[in-house]
Amino acid sequence: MRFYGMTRWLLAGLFILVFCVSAYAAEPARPLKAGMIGLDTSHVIAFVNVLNDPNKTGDLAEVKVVAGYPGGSPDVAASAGRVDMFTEKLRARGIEIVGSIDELLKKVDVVLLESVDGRPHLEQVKPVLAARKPVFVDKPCAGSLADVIEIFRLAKEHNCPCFSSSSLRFGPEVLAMRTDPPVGEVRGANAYGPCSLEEHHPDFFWYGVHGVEILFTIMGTGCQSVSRVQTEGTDVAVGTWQDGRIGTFRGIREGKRGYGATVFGTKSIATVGRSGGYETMVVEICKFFKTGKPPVSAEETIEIFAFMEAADESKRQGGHPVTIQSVIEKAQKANAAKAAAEKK
Amino acid sequence: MCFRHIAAGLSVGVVVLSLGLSAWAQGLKPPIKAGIIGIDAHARPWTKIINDPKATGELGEMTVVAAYPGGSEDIPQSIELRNSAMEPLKEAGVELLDSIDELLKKVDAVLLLSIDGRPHLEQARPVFAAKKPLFIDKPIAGSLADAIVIFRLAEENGVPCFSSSSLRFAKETLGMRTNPKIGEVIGCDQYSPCSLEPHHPDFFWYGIHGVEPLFTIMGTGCKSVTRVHTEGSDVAVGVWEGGRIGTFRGIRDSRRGYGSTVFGTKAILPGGGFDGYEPLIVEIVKFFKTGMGPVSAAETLEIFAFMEAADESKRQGGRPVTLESVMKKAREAAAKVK
Repeated sequence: MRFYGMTRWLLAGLFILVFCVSAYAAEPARPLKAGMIGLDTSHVIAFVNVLNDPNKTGDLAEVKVVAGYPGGSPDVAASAGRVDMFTEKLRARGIEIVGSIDELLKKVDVVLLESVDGRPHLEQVKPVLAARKPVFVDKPCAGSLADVIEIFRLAKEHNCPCFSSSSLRFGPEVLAMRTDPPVGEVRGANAYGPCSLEEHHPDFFWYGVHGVEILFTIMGTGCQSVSRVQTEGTDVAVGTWQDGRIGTFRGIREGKRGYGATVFGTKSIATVGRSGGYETMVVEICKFFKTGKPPVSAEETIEIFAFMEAADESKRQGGHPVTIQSVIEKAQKANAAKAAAEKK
Repeated sequence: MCFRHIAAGLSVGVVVLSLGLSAWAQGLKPPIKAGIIGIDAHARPWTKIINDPKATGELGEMTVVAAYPGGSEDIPQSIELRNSAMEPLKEAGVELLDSIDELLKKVDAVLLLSIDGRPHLEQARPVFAAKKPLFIDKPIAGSLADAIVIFRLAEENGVPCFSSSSLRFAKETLGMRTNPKIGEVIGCDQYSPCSLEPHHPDFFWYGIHGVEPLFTIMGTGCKSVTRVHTEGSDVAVGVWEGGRIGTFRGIRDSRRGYGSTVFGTKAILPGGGFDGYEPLIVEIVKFFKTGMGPVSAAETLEIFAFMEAADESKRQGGRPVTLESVMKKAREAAAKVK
């Protein structure tokens, strides 16, 4: 009886060992080979500078960019005017430039979707999710709230790790307001950031997302409605959270550019500025590629884009408050209608 | 005929003008004997500063000699503060009197400090009639219409009068518009505590301490206000002429504090906080000496129109409300008051 019991434990142990070894064997070798989609933003150079630096240690040493698909949007000057330049710079760094996303996916373990234009993100990410390559989608996650929702639905359907964020979230001062706020419980925040506009994107998607991301990092999710005031040089969006907290975003077009926030807590009022560059986010991306665990939930990113979409809707309605729920429902309906049309 | 009318009109104008100037061209000569109406708010701390025998400069040129206690029976804080101020004021050498008329016989200038804005108009009337220069503590009145009447009476009587929150005179706030580091001010996010009092429009009672520095930094020219209100917080967003945006955040459920972020053409900088009462009191003494107030009636009225518009926006579910619309309504109400 005792012998039998011991055998049982030994067998169980052996089974666990074999399972672990086989799982390990299934994992790609390190460093992970990363591919970039959309070589039309300065981010691609900044990220390669960090990831492909032979002197980096830790998480950064475990991911290397090996291939890129240029992409580019002919109707966005910031893209069309720079895609060739960034592509050549990457080629000069020894990164293989390929002609299609399918080709790219054969060569890489993980993907950085970098296209500066949010509109093609959904179509560009579809083959990545289908191939189940973990993917980071750079800001803006997409060109519409409906597309953002669809991206995360597909990620879930394919069980493929996926997240999106602005690098401003990962500034240590900003992130600390979420993880261990020195101000006590956060009761409100005024965030600000530059807010240049791009005609094909909802107003805050293009650049304001950086400041809105700061706001949500500090406040957390739970925003219920948004009121928007816009002038040529400035935007202010005021969000009301479900527990009565208020968070505001000021978008700067006229005057000195900058990022920051004032945080109103139960113990103190504090200001936070931009701290850390891209590297803090790239470290998070590397960890995500290794673990499959996103540092930002799909729910939070969807809410951030719903906030920005509601801000546009409030502007259309002359500044009246617009609920987050209403714009999410509208986007879901649009997706359902699109899916039905595709079936036909 | 026509020429004669113009000439008559001109001479009347000149007489009125010279009367006004002659009364206040010189201002008051120190030492200035000041009287306080309403000892249920700042009377106690201010008298301590003003009557301090070690006070120097402008602060040494004025003494509080008398006070009329006042107080509002329907505001518990008023009665509590009034009662607790009596003895300390007497100890500071202040004679407590039973009426404003009695007070006016004993003083050169008046500090109207009643915590409740509602009685300010009636308390100011005899001061104007007696032609004593008058400082009115915040809130200038309990309604925008009353504030309009107060400034009208001051003008009609040729009596210098101004009102302000002390927060205006914090160094970094007052100096922001001329700070070469900021360039031109494009916007400002200001905050302050914002407790409410049921007899006052929401921001009149305490939020004024944040709205006053917002206007100090932004200047006048606000056109409309959008308000978001919850139990613990308020945010009012004002759009200025030319598209500049200034916001006020009122704090109720978290750490109290005063401050701002100022957005300029050259920099983004923090504005001032609370530098104490002295800078305001110095301005009041200067005002009594010169007859020239540091804040125009037009600016104070715009500040109160902003706060009234914020209340109206709240009533309209957060829609933007123009300052002109609330001013028009208040002017009509004020026109009915003699």
